[in-house]
Order: sequence, then C-alpha cells, then structure tokens
Amino acid sequence: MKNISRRQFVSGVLKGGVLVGALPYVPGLIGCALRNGPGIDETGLQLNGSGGHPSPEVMQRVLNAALLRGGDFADVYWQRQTTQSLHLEDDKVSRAGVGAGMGVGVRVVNGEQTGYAYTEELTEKSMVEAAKTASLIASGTTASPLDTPLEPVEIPGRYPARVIMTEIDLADKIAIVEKANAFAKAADPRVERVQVIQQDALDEVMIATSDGGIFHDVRPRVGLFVMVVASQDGKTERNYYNMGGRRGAEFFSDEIIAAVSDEAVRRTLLLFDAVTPPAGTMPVVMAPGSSGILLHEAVGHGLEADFNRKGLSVYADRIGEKVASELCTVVDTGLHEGDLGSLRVDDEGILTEKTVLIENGKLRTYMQDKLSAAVMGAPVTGNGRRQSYKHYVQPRMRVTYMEPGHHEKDEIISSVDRGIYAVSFSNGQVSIGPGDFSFYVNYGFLIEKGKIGPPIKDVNLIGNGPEVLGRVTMVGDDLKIEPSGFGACGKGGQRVPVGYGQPHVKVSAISVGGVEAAPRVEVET
Amino acid sequence: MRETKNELTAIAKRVLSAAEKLGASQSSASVSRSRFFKVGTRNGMVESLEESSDRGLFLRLFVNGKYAEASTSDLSNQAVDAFVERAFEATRLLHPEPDRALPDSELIEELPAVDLDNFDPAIDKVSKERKMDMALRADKAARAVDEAVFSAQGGFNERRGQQVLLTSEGFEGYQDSTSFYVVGSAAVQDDDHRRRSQWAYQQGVKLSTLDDPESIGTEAARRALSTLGAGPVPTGTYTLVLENRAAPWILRLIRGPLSGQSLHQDRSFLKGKLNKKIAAPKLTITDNPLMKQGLASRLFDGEGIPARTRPIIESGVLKNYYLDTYYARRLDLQPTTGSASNLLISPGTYSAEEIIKGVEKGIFVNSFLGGNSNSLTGDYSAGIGGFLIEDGEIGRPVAEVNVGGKVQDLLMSLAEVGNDPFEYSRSRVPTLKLPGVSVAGT
Repeated sequence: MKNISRRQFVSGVLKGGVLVGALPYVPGLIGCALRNGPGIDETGLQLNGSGGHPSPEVMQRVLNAALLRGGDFADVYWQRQTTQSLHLEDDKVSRAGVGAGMGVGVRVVNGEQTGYAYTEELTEKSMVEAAKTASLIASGTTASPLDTPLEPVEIPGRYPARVIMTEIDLADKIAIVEKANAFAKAADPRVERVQVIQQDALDEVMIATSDGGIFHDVRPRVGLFVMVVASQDGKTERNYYNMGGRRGAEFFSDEIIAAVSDEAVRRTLLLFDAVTPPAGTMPVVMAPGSSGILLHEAVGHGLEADFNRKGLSVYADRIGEKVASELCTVVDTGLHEGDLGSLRVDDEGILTEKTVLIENGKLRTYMQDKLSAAVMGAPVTGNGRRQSYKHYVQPRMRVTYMEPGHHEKDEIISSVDRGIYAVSFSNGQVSIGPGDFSFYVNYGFLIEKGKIGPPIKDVNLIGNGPEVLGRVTMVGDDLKIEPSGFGACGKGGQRVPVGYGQPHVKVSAISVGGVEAAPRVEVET
Repeated sequence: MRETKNELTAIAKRVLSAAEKLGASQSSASVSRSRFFKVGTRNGMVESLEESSDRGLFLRLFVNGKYAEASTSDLSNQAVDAFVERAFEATRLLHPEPDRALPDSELIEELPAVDLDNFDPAIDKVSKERKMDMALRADKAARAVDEAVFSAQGGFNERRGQQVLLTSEGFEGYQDSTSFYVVGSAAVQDDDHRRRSQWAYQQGVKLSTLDDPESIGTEAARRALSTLGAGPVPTGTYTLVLENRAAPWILRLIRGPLSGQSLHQDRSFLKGKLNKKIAAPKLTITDNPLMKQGLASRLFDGEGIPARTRPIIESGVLKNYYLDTYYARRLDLQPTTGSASNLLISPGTYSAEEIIKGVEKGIFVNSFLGGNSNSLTGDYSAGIGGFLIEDGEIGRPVAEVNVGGKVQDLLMSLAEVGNDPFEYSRSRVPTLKLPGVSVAGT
C-alpha cells in the first residue's frame, strides 16, 4: 500500500545483466551430466503435475461459497511451489536451500472491488472459510452458484523444459556449480574470489474460475549466477552475470555454464579501466538485452490497466495517440519461449497472447486483467498475475520488448559525437503519475567522436517515459531478450518473474548521473 | 496466546527431534504464525479487503559442517517429517565447512529482560469497521484539501506475528508483536498528461500512536499539490538536505558494505575500517533492537543470538559490522548479529527549517527514484525528487535529476543532523545536510 504510485524493478542481489556478443542457445543435453528425470516430456507440462490439489468438485463448492453474497466473478487458486538452491564460495558448496509452499487463495470481484483470503490448510472447511471471508466484499444477499460442473480447459503449447531441475540428482547440480567456479577461476589469473548461486523452482497452479473452467499449469524456472572479485595493481573490482529462464535442467550445458562464468569475469576485468562518466544530458545508445528495463519502466508499468482505469498514469485516456517515436513498436507477450516472464495461462485463467502495446509510436492497448478489462470494456490480454496464493491478481508484464528496426550497431554508434554506450543494466524504478523513471547502468562505455571509448560504471539514468520514447532516433536490427534467471519485478508488494529485451536503441538525450559537468548537448528531434 | 505458543513450540520440537534422528549435528527451528487484515479504499469506496493467517517453518540444519536452510508453509506432522528429510538430503553431497555452525554456546547470554512493549491488544479489540473507517477517513481528507485532487486512496494494514525459535543447543525464544499502518495518497493533474501522485503514512506497533487519519490524507494531498510543475535543475554541485522521511537512503548505502559476506568476500569498501574514522563527527548510528515500541525490536535474532544495542558508527568512527556466526568465524571476529534491527541516527540541535535557512544553493530531497551503489568501490548514483533551495528559501519542485559520487565522500561530508527523527519507520533518521553533491540535470 505504501507504494501506490511507485513501481520498482528489483533484481535484488541477483541483478540482471546483458550478454555482449551472440551466444547460441544450446538446446538438448549437450555436454551436461544430467539424468533424464521423471517429470516433463515433449507432450507438455500439464500432464505431469504432482497431484495434491483439491478435486474439481471441491474447488467448485469453494467457488459457490465465494459467490454466496453475489459478485461478478470469483476464482480459487491452488499453488504448490518447490524451490532449491546451492551456494558456493571459497571453492566449497557448503550451503543448500530448499523451500516448499502450498496454499489456496480465494478471490471475489464485485465491480472494482476485490475481496481476498487464503489458507494453507487444504481442508474443504478451511477453504470454504476463506471463501466466506473473501465474499464479504460483495453486498448482495442473493447467491449466484454455478449450476454446471466446471470443465478442465486445455492449455496449448509448453515450456521448453525436458528435465525438471528440481528433480535431478543433487550430484548433477553440484557439478554445475563446481564447473561454474572452475571456469571463472581458470578464465584469468586476476580472479581472486568466485561466488556461485544455482537456483531453481517449480511452480504448479490450478485455477478454477466462475466464468471459465479449470486451468492447470506447471511452470519451471532455473538460474545460475556467478559473481567475481578480481585484483590488479592493488585495485579490486567485482561484477556478475547470470543466465536462466523458464527452462529445464538441460539448459545448463557446459557451453552455457562457461558463458555465464566467462561473462562475469570479462565484466569484472574491464572495470579496472572504468571511469565515472560526466554528469548531464547526453545521447545514450543502449546495447541489446537488459536495456529492456528501459521499456519496463518507461512505458511498461504506465500501460498496466489498473493505473489507467483509475486515471493515474501518464498514458491514461491516450489510446490511439502518439506516445513514442514512430520507430518504436513495443510488445508484451506470454509466449516468448524460455524467458522468465513467459506464461501459457495467466493467474486468472486467461490464455496468454502477444500483445502489441505501442505500434509505430501509437498507443494500441493497455495490459489488462479481468477486473480492469470489465470496467473499461476492453478485451482481456492475459496479463493477470500474482506472486503466490497469498496475493490477488494485478495486471503485470510478462516478457516486454521492442521490435527490431533497420539500423546496424555500427551506424548507431558512429552517429554519436559524444555520449554513452550503456551495456548492462541492473535495476530501475518508475513514478507512474508523471511517467518519470530511472534505471541503473552497471557498466558501459563512453562514445567519443563516433567510436567506443573507455568503460564506465555505476551510473543512474533518469528521464520521462513519453519524452524519452519520443527521442528514440535509431532502432537496431538485433533484438535480444535478456536470458536472465533472476529478473523479478515488484508492484504493490508482489514480486513476479519478468522478461525484457531490446535491440540497440539510440535516445538523443537522457540525463546521466555522473560526477562532473558535461558539455551541453542539444536535443535532436 | 499461550495456545499458539505451545502449538508452535510443539512443531519446533518435532522438527529438532526429526533432525537429530536423521543424524544432524546441530539444528534450529523457527516456527511462526502471522495474521493480517488489509483494507484499500479509493475515492470513498472500499476497493480491497484481505484477511488471512499463515504459518511457516524455517529450519537450519548442520550435518558435520554441511549446511542447509529450508522453509515451508506446510506444517502438518507428516509434511514436516518429509520436509526435514528433504533438507537433510540436500546436505548429503555438500562440502563440509566447519565454520558453519550454530552460535557458540558460551557466547549466548541470557535473553535481555526487557519489555519491548510491541504488542497491542487493539488488534483484536478494535473493530474491523473502525479500521476500515480509518482508511476511508484518510481518503476523504485527501480529497477535501483541494478539488484538484482527482483521485485519493486510503489504506489500513495490521499484522500480528508470533515466533518460536528453538535450537539443538538449548536456546528457546518466543516473540509476539503487532504493527499497524495507515496510508493516504492523492493524485493531481499536471501539464502535458502528467499526474502528480504523493502519499503520506504513519506506522507503529500500537494503533493508538497513529494520529488521526485526516492528517495523513491532508499531508498526502499537500505533498501532491506541491509537486505541480516539477522538473530538472541545471547540472552542478548542490547541498542536499534530505527530508527525515527520505533520509534512511543513506543507511541503505552502507548496509551491504557492513555485512559479513561483503567483508569476507572482499566486496566492501569498509573492510579494515573498524575503529577508523569513516564519517563526519556528527554521524552516530546505533542499532537498537531493544527499543520500546520499535517496529524492528526483538529479543533475539534469526540465529538465536540475544539482542544487544550496538553502536555502528560513533561520532564518525566505525564501531561494528553485521556479523553472523559463520562470517564472524571466517573473519576471526566476534559475532554481532547478521541482520539490522531499529537503526537510529542520533539527532542534532536544529530543525529542518533552520538547516534549510543556512543553505545557499541546494535541493531539499523528499524522495529517491531507483539508483544503486557498488559495495566494493562505494560508487553510487540515484534519481531524486524534492525542491530547489535558493538563499535559504524553498523554491520550485524538482524531478528528473540524478545525484552521484562516492559513499565514502558522502559520509565524510555530513554537515548537519536535524533534531527531528522520523518516527514511523524502523529507521529513525533526522533531516541530514550533505554539501557538495554532484547533481546531473539539464
């Protein structure tokens, strides 16, 4: 409740980063000592649930209890989450983490009002009790029970996970962590310390909705994070990198493990020469990948339907208007295979889609959940998400990116006389009302007379969403979604995994936080 | 709630005995129950109502130096037994690290005999209708300030948390506390599609310590109206005056560098600085877990180390790190605690107004937008919002500017500490004056 208008893109200790240079996605089990566990096969994840959820009949009776006082619609959300992590420092994997959570949340929606309650005791009595608490939001006295049995709804597609990470042998996981450590140590003699975190989760949900049916989804998540401390001539630097996504254990081939470690080392070593950039307003070229945080903050949150339904967003009442440079086509999709925010069905039983938010600079649609869509008379888009059974649905992003344009990297860089080339971004935040946002550059380079100059680090960029998107003057042909295993976004006290990406993008002027004044730069329009 | 305490204790005992049977050398079990009620309102309508209770187990398991942490919400007997087995299984192939252990028993003193006064029976005694009304009153008051307020929201949250911590070394602790939160927010229309939205809140462990909700709503609306027309200032060097509510930002910049992990892994600019001067003499920071009615007060920490008040920085000199048992052993230092509690910056003499009067060219900062810092080098950069200060007077609202520099310099530059710690937070920080900060704007 405290953060009514502020949305924070949080990556916590495990921050996003961008991969420089093309790294092939290696499908299958190349070079990875993993056994083929039980769990997911090519036919799709919904066939491989672990059981333990309430029966459809019980879920329906709970729904009926929820609708006892009326209301427009209700849903019952069962969830079981299993998490596992391994931590390496000083060459030892001496710490493991395991987590398990299971519960049922009941939501009743009446117009713009939401009642919510949950329970971790999965007896029918406790669930009906939660349903009654949630129903207090509705004031009607007429019961509106469902008269026909709820039917299971088939969910198309699948997540690209052949082997569920949570189910492979511990020895295989430890091998991944040890390899990451060994690769980082071997990469350069200046590397002094390596920390590795391997984390995976399996999230199984069953959603019964009063106006849809029963939806069952099993969502895998994996991540590998490497942090490096290196020293040179008495100077010490640290940096990190991670990869992962909605994938299976087979993702962690030796090539991928080496890519994570090598990139963490490379990013650390280049900081020895890094300078703090000059402060002030200047052109900024963003490298593909984690720069997608720009979209997430500058337009993403502002296009979530709840803020627009309430008239609180800088983008409210602007469908059809020009809100960005015509080079910008911005998309949010649940269908981007393998990326963290991808979802086949959202958390209120809407099958997801590719939603075009901004097309050639014009605002096309907001990201909707059922509640906002009903109030605004707009179609749903499958953006209804929640952190867990403890939380009610909000419109949230999935995988947000900008469609590629026609410019090549070199022509974009060479068009800048003096500015910065921002490569890796770690976090951002937005103030929805004015549309002001900021995002943090972990490292990048100066651009001097059209050429890449010395590296820079640790600098915040700030701007206004519509203004900055209006100043996009070049869009590259090289879209890349950040292959992060840890990217998460916080809104209204709820964190959900999200994906984000961009091609190379040039913005003619952004305020760069540095330490010394830079020469003034006129804004191109 | 003796009944709940006994229930939680029984689960913790079951966990410890299951761990012992499996062959764990040491273990600790924290079993908690929390209960909450939340209301959100908008423009006079109750928009959301949430109420639930949940339970959780956090298990720490040591098997001859192999270590696992495990958490679950499923506390049925059968599930708990299976869960302990799963945690034990997770340690099976780990590398032993002898420094991973429970706190040394000789370091464990008696629990402090202090009444933290952090439980309020109002959580059960005051009706839900009255609590709902507090949210509605904040909402209504915000709209009453000016008809330019086109949207106002109110909120009320309360939570009760009970926790039992048992360790195989014989530690037994129980805590039971409440917290209450009232918030109001207001949005007004600015030029060029921009809306200005601001909020105000009060928070405390006792319902009665929260002022009337009207003042919260009124403050939110005034804050929103005051930001109309906000924009950047020219790039340059300014004196920052941090409003007390926003000033805990400075604590966030040193939290990472003070941690045992950062120190041990050579990722902290505060390594080797114990008992050295790292800040201006006006800066004294104390970690006080035993403060009465503190939002982060506690009798013991997550490991079962009894709580003690400790100076972190005393007149500019670094006095303590945050060290849990493991990192203290690794660093060959005495453990303190791995986690911060109530952080207090000792107040000075002057009010915020008096401090602003003495500033020729500065920014009164009331909010931060994003930003981050590097715990190893101390580089920081963040977006700020607030008001321009010219010749001691508050001027136009400021937005879309960044500050940046080194945390080390920021700490040394502290020129004045106000007499007005913000009391509705777990950190109690007064107004702070920081001259010579680089600001990036137009």
